[in-house]
Amino acid sequence: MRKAGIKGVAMKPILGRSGRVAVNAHKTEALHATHLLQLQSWMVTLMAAMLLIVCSTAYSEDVHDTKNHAAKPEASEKVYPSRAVQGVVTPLAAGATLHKMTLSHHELEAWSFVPKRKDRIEIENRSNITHALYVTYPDGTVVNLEIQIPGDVVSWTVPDDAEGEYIFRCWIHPVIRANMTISE
Amino acid sequence: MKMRTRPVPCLMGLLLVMNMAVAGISHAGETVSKNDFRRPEGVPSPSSNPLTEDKANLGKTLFFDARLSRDNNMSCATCHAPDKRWSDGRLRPLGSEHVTNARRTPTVLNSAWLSALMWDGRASSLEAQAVLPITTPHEMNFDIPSVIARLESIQGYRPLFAKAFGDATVNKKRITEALASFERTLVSNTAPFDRWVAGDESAISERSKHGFKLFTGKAQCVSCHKSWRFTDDSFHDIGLRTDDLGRGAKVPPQVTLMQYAFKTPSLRDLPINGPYMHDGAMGGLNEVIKHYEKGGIERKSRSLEMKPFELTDAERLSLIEFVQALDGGSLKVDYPSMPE
Repeated sequence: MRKAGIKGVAMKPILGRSGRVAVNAHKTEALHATHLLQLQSWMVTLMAAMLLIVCSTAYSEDVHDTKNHAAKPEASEKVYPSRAVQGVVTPLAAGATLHKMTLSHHELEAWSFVPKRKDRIEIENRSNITHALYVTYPDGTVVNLEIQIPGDVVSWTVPDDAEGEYIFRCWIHPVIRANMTISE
Repeated sequence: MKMRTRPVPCLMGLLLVMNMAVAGISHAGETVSKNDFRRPEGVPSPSSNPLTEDKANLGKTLFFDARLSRDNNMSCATCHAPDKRWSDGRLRPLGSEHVTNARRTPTVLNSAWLSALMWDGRASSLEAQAVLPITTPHEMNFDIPSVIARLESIQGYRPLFAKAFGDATVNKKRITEALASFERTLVSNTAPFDRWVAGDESAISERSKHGFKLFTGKAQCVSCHKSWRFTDDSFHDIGLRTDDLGRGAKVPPQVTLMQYAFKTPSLRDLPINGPYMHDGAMGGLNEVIKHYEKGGIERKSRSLEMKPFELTDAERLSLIEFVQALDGGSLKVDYPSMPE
């Protein structure tokens, strides 16, 4: 019986939602929108600061603390493992191809490419829910592709010696499943 | 300084949302309509175990037969009772008094559509799940070879196995396939909500319709309670106070989000007074809704879909009335006679 093991997983704190989006956006078509959003966020910050100066009304913490959930940090700002290990910051190997897949709702949308060794597969989460994909290798090895909030992109680089069936699944949503056969 | 710190995130959040709306960016993303909850036409079954009437009949007999337990006292139906919405109505299962972190008995209704079974998803099919209660010490406490031997000794089972599988051989695969086949036939009755989805505007009350709007809107219950079964068949830490790691004990520890995570239960045919949650900790829907409003315990594993909100008493009542409209009533069951 094969025994599952964890390979290539690093624990590294990263920033909150805006940081996460920025990490991934340089590889997506959402680049323009993200920059626009960042610019808008700066403008909003400036506007908010100006408003605060003008409207210096005092707030009682006793009154607002119990109801003001927005003041508390969001779960998405918590610490999750880095995706760097999976190749996002590593240059693509010579001759390798970058393939793209999308997660929509609770499924990986159909793909038409045939991956080969050293290729990289990027998966964009186009649903409005969080996913946590992992790949199970033919020998039972499990590689996590990390937590993927809406809009995030994760990637998996096909190992140099890959051969056989690699299965993509989601820890959160077991219904998500994609089998990918790699052969040289 | 302290008194000025509160408005910052509020104002920024509000302005950011307004700004994003102008820019056409929305994290809500998908629009939900009542058609997303339309009932399917048929019942699915795997190609490895196609659903047949004969297999389901055998499975039904096995399901109600206490001789599948070591001491002949417990059948599947003991804890998945037809008159208890195919659960047991108990906070904790029978015999689990000394079990650490015992979990409430889930219903087996609509299990034909499940992609992961048990609260922690440790079984991937009904066939795989069927073995677990038979062999669990505090449940039926038997072992499969002994079950097979006992069934082989009951002559009345021979024609049932022969009809279902072509010959009278009893083995683990056939027992589990038959049990799974019967469970696949347990499908919720058509509920008032289904008639409304089908076009009958008078099928549910205006308050229920308001509840549906809250369900898919302000309260965002639909983030996890989706599809016609009102579940995403997925796992979430909803911030309950518990020592039970749930799915977290079944997946690598690096998958933080799965710690204290349990499978989203269906909302169809709920027993009106619960118990609810994986540990039966809540006894009423009002209490459940208030938990979601507050968002539960903040921790690294808490689901990102847990977004606190606030409802009025009237809105809570609407939401509850909507959930009650998902009740199609008890299934009519003809109890099988036990083979001798």
